Amino acid sequence: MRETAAKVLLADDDESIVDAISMMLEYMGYAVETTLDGTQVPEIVAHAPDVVILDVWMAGIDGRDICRSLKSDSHTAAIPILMISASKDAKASVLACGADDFLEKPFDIDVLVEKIERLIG
Amino acid sequence: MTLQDDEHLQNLINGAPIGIAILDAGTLRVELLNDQFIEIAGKPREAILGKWYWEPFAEARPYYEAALADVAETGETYRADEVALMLIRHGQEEIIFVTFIYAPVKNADGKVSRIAVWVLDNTAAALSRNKAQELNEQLATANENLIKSHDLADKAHQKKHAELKGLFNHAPVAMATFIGPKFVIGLYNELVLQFWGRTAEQVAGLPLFEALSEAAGQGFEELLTGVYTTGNPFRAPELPVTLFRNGRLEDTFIDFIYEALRDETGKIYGILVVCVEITEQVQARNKVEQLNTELQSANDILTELTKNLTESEARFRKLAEGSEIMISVNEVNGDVIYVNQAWLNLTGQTQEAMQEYGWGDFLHPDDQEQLLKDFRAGIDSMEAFTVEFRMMNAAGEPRYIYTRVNPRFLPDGSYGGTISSSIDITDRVKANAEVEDAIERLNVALDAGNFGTTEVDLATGAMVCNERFKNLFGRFSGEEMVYADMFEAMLPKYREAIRAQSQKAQRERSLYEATYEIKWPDGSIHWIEAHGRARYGADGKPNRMVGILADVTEQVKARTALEQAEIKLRLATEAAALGTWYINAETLEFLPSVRLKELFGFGPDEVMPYAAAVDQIAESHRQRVTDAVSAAIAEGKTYDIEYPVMGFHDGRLRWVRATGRLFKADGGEPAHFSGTMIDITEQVAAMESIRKSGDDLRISRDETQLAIDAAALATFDYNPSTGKFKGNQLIREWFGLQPEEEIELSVATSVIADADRERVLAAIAEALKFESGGNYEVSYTIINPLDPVPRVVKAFGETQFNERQEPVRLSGVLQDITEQRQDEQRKNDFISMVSHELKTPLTSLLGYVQMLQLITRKQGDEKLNGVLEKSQAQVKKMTTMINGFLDMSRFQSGKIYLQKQEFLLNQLLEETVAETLLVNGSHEISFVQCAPVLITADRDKIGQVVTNLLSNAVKYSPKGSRITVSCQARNKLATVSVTDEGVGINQANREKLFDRFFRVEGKQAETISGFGIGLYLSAEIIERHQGKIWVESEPGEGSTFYFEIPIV
Repeated sequence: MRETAAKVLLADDDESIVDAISMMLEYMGYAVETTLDGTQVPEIVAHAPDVVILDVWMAGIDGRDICRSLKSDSHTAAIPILMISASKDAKASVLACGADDFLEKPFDIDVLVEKIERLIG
Repeated sequence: MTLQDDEHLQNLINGAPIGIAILDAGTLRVELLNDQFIEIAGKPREAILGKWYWEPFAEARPYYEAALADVAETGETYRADEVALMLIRHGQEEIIFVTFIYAPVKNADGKVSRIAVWVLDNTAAALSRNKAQELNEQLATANENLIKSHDLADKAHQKKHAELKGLFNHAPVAMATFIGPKFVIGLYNELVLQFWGRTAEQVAGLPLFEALSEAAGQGFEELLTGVYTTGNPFRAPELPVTLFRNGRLEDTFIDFIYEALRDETGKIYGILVVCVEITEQVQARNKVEQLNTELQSANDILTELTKNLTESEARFRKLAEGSEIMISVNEVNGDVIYVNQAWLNLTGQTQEAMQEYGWGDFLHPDDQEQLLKDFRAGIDSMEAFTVEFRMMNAAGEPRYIYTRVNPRFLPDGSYGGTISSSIDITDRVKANAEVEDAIERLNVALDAGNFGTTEVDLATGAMVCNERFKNLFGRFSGEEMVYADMFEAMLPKYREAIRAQSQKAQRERSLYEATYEIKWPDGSIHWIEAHGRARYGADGKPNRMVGILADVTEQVKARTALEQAEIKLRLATEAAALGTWYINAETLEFLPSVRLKELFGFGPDEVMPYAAAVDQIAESHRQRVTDAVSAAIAEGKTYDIEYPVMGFHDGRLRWVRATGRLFKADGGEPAHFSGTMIDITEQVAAMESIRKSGDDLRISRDETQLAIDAAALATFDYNPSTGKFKGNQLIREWFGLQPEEEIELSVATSVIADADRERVLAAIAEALKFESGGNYEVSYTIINPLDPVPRVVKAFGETQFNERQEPVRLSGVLQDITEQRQDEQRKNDFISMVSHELKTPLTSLLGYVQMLQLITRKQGDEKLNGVLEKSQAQVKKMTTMINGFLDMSRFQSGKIYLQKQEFLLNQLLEETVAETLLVNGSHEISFVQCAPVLITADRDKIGQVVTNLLSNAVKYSPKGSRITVSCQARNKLATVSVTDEGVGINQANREKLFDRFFRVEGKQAETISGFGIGLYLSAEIIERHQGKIWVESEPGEGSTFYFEIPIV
């Protein structure tokens, strides 16, 4: 176990997903910050999360655009990004925009945690 | 009774708003006229009434005498529309503009007894327009905006009722001011008092609606208050108002303007009202309508044939309205005195500019010189002349103008210049040019086709023909040729028939077609094929015959040669197996040849008497044959008859053809009767079968055509050796092709969507290979620029090969599947959208369930944990189903791509079996290990197929039964099988098993969930691997599912 809880930023426009996943991750010992509004992500990233979990299709914004802008900014480029989507077809485009990993919805929490841990290193 | 005696008529004419004079048609004496006519003429009544018409109007006589005389003679109306007329009015020379009509008035026997002259003075109309303008200027002092609107209204009014303007347009302008919110009457003029019907004492200083109480309650308070409070002016054209005037209530019509009055600070302190009473105009309009009606009845009195007059006038009016005759009055030197609106419209100039600069600038440069020359000559001649020329209109486009120029004589008889009327004939010229062009093109086509053309005047026999026609008849191009020459060239034996045919075509208005021989002047014989058609005159009778001829000598020769060759061939063939016979006329001895005996079924050495032979003729034909033979003997004619005979020994039915004739000795007495006989059994049978197959073919062709038409199928036929492609109307429509017989394949394929073209060409190339079996089946999109929507089609075809295995033709049909495709696409989009929506709540649901599991595990609650396990299993099951839907819609819309990799098939099977065992403890699943099989395929998707087959096996077989998975590699193919001991599948279901949404019906099946897409998807995946999938099963005996895919 780490000294301090790893910080996870979770962005998804579905409230129940944010609720269920954040509750779970907190139970597993992560410090979770969430947003339903994708456009807030660049702002919240200033709090230096250890990993960003980004939904691909969000109301009003494409998660891939957020991913690209984070990865092109030298301040945030090092933060690993895990993108999630209900469409497995999105995988290729997600990886192309610089995301570090992809997970198809719905997923097992064990798998999610395993991926987070691998990304945090 | 003279017309003057008729008081009623005189009254009606006097009331008419236009000038009318009635003349005696014979003497042209003026019998009746009204004041308006006198007004326009500008001469005293006594100078006109009772006088010969041209006496008072000597100055107009040179221009219109002929026209008036024509009316008396022909009974046709003459109309001059807005013409400039020089009249001596009140002793002064004056040019006025008038529209007038000379209308014939006919008596009961249709003779023109009188002429009515109707005159409308357009000068007065122009003056009245000026008058209206003056009024408007007065209004301008009150309010500038007011003018604009009034002007517009007045102009529109003028336009509609131009004829009235001269009579009733002295509309006064009444003005008044109303002060304060109670609208106390301030200033007012005489006119407004008149209009109100009040004296100054009755209104001064009183609030408006007290002074004019009858105007209250008509909505004016609201109007005035509106203007007073908002400051927005109010205008109301032609407003009906009831006023107390002349001691009674009167209905009036008023153009109103209310304008706010403001003090220096801009505050509104009152209202200025300007009223233009137009009651008289409105009433006049009504009155004119009434007058028109009365004039109509005046006409009834004047003529028993009013109807004719009215109709012809109406017709003429319509024509005049539709035409745009341009009028111009010019000086001797050509300077413009006046041009009418039509000219101004054409040139886009003002009257002043035209007067100042004349025509020069508008003439087409190419026509200027000639036109000037024509004009000079015409003016020098001092007679009427016509010219045709081009001039540029306002838009700078050339227009063709036809002008008639009349000389204008001054009262002293000297030449005063010209007055001309012109019409724009551009459309006519263009139409003529088009017709000429069309004729030219037709002629070129006819010449190119080596056709002779002719046109014969049926009345005179005069003939017009082209040079080629002369050549067809062996004449030189320059030579003269008349109709008789053509008829005489015809060989005599044809003449009567041809004449009859031509007359028949004339009578029945049908196409005349004939083929005949002609003799050239050099004696050579030629075949002519002629097509013709009569042309008809206005009386419906044929007056001309036009024809197209071609030399068909070569064709006829070729046909004759062919026919002769056929005859020779037949003779030669017949000669090979002729039977012969001979009857001595004296002894009646019958001598048949061996072949003849054979035909009748007798042996070569046997005796065959005549009677015995006759007995062998089929009973149906026997009498006819003996009759024919008897007749031939009696009349000395040849006989030729076909009949069936029955073999004497062998009973074989043969068809024979027998010919014979009576030969006479030198002295003329019969010597012998002999003939030949041949076996035509085969020919008869062949004919019969040809006839039958012809029938069958026709029937099947008809049926096919019907089916094709009913199914809206396009058909195509491609000949690989010529590269040409043809098809039915529908395919030409789809491909946007012209209705030519055949076109290059590349032209047809050019409209295939770029993304599809290569694939279609490859499919065609494949179908043309003998090894492929010749089958052609491909779907593609046609992008025809004429079709708004791309058309998706499915083509089916088959190649025919010759004995050298070379493709001869590829033909088949095309089906429009656009709608089907669109439906599929919509359905798939829907499924895909819904599935994604379903997955979102499943994601959180799964999260919650797993969260609970973590907690219950910690607490050690086994029961609750079990429940959550089941919940999780259900969520996963649902996820699987949704993924299935998504996969299916991806397959359907062609979105899926295989991601091939090299892997060990046996390993995949082992893993999949292990995974299935994890979730299904209820069955005994085993994997029969096989040798390692390395294949290149999409590992995930093949895994999906195996999972699916296994889950089906679990679903449809009893708990505890065995399920076996095995694999093998052979001939570069890997085969996998999944065997169960389940319910089995009957044949009907086996056939549909791999269809989408199919689920085996039955009691067990009802209890099993799923949407029936698993096997469909499996089949799609295997198909995309170029493999195949199938099942072997019997009801109650379990099933084995197989799939087979190439190893590489």
